[in-house]
Amino acid sequence: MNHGITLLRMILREMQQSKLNTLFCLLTVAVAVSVLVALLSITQDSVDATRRMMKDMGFNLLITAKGVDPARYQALDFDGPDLPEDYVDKLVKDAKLAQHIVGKYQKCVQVNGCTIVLTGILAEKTEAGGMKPMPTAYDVADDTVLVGSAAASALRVEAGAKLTLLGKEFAVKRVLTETGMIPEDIRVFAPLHQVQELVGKAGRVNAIDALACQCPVSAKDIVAYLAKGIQAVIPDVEVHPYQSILLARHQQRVLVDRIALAALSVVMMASAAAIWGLTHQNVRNRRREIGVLRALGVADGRVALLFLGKIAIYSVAGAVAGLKAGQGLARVLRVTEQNLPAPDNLLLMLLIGTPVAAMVFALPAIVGGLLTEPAEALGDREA
Amino acid sequence: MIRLENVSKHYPRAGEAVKALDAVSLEIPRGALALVRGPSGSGKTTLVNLVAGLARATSGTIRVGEDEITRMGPRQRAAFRARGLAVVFQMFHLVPYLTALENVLLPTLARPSREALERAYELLVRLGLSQRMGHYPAELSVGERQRCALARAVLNRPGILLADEPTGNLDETSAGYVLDLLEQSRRDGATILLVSHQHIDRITPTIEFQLRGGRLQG
Ligand SMILES: Nc1ncnc2c1ncn2[C@@H]1O[C@H](COP(=O)(O)OP(=O)(O)OP(=O)(O)O)[C@@H](O)[C@H]1O
Ligand SMILES: [Mg+2]
Repeated sequence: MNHGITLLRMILREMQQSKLNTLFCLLTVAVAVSVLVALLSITQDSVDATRRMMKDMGFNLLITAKGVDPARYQALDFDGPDLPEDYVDKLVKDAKLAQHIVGKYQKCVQVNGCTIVLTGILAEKTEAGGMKPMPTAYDVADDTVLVGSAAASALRVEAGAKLTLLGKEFAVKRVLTETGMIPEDIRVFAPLHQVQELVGKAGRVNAIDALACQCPVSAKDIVAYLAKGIQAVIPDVEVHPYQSILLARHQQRVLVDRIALAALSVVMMASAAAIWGLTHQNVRNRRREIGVLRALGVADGRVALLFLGKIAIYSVAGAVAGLKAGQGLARVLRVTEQNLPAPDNLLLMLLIGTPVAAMVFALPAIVGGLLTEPAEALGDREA
Repeated sequence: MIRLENVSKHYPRAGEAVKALDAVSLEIPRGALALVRGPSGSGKTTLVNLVAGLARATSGTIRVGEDEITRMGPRQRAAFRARGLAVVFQMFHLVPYLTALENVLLPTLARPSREALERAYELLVRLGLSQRMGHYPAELSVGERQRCALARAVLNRPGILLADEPTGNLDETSAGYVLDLLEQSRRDGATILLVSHQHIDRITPTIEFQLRGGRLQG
């Protein structure tokens, strides 16, 4: 029936007996962990949302050859100096500063008496943080084109039609939705390498679009910082930031991080206080038990283990429950599926971090319970 | 051997200190059964706590065998108890969420022993608790708790046994069990300090002391 007594058996027995205390401890941990998990998901989601939004708005960096006026670049007759195409790969490799890099060669051409901006576009490349390139709205397969809305109506083409450009026939894959901006709406996007061939500029690009990543510098220095970093990789270029977009993005990220950090500190402090309080109460209620064990000669370290073991058990249970609850909470808050934290690595971190944190919070209460002489704790006055 | 020299324990209070023990000197030879008698409040429990190292004396020295426990810190005193000193508490102090048997086995947390389980069964049977091993303290009568506390104290065969009113709550039969067990420990070579407010017929102490108001009489 019975095989002696161990600390573990005592811990489990005590937890069974003081159900309410155990339940409150578990809830405290679970709530703290779920808030942590939800906050992580929300910050991650907001970063992704910003990134997605930025992409929809267009890229925020334009890289051209030296001496190119960005205003001229937007003009229809732009035919400025160009850059080697392998600059795109160099940037991708050293993409600490920029992501979602797209190389382009654009040229104004006349087609059936209409002016269009023929834009050769290279499928997006990125390497930062192992992020997968997000398909842009402008990805085109060989022998196909995407036609801007104004160009489509001038040329009278729609999806499925054939369009001959500089003597080569392309299939119209899609007509792009109207943006209301002239150079954009008269663009015809075709694969970069086919355009290079048609205009006799093999291996050249005349613009690189990129999305600047988060920079560890203040908002006012960000432009100089980016230019310097990019010029270190590909020297003879000019970096033209779309400054307002860049700043907005930077500030939003900083704000989200700050709010998350503040919320997290509050939750951590509250749970530290709660765990300390609950342990203190548990230690007080068990003063005499502590006194007896010490009177029997049980070392203080082992007596402390009785409490630390209990904390370890409910923290691990609380961490698992909190992870599930936090993911649920994130879902309710409409965090996108891909940004719910992946359970495996996070679970491991929580399984180690949570008990350690809880034990640290509880330690003062436990040590406090061991400071009195056993006779005092036994308080022989009450039965 | 237990030797106290000028041992005092004062509890500071607003006004004057309570002198629970006042300059007590006594010596209990090794293997003796000493009986300390005194009315309620005379300092008996205080004496037991000091000898067991559960509280610090205000002054004086206490030696138990080779050890001078008045010089030891709390850790050393715990280790000293684990080595072979046990107390039967006046208030039993059983752990409420453990069964009678588990309570008896608690000393193994301080000093594991192979025979502990077997001995625990044997002790509980001997003390008339064979039907109560799986019961929790709250389900035991006061006398049953007392016997359980005694079984716990003698589990590891301590060389020194301090018993604070071990028969105080018992009827004659139960007291008989308890005193027989104390006799047995004495025969096994233990030094025993027995504290009681009443006379105990069934036992012949090697040496007897009287406490009154914290002072030793004659
Ligand atoms: N923690 C304390 N604070 C103040 N006074 C105390 C404290 N502990 C004991 N005393 C006092 O010391 C005196 C001796 O107490 P003690 O418990 O040793 O008596 P006792 O002889 O064991 O009595 P009883 O037979 O009733 O158990 C009592 O007057 C008591 O009020
Ligand atoms: Mg007493």
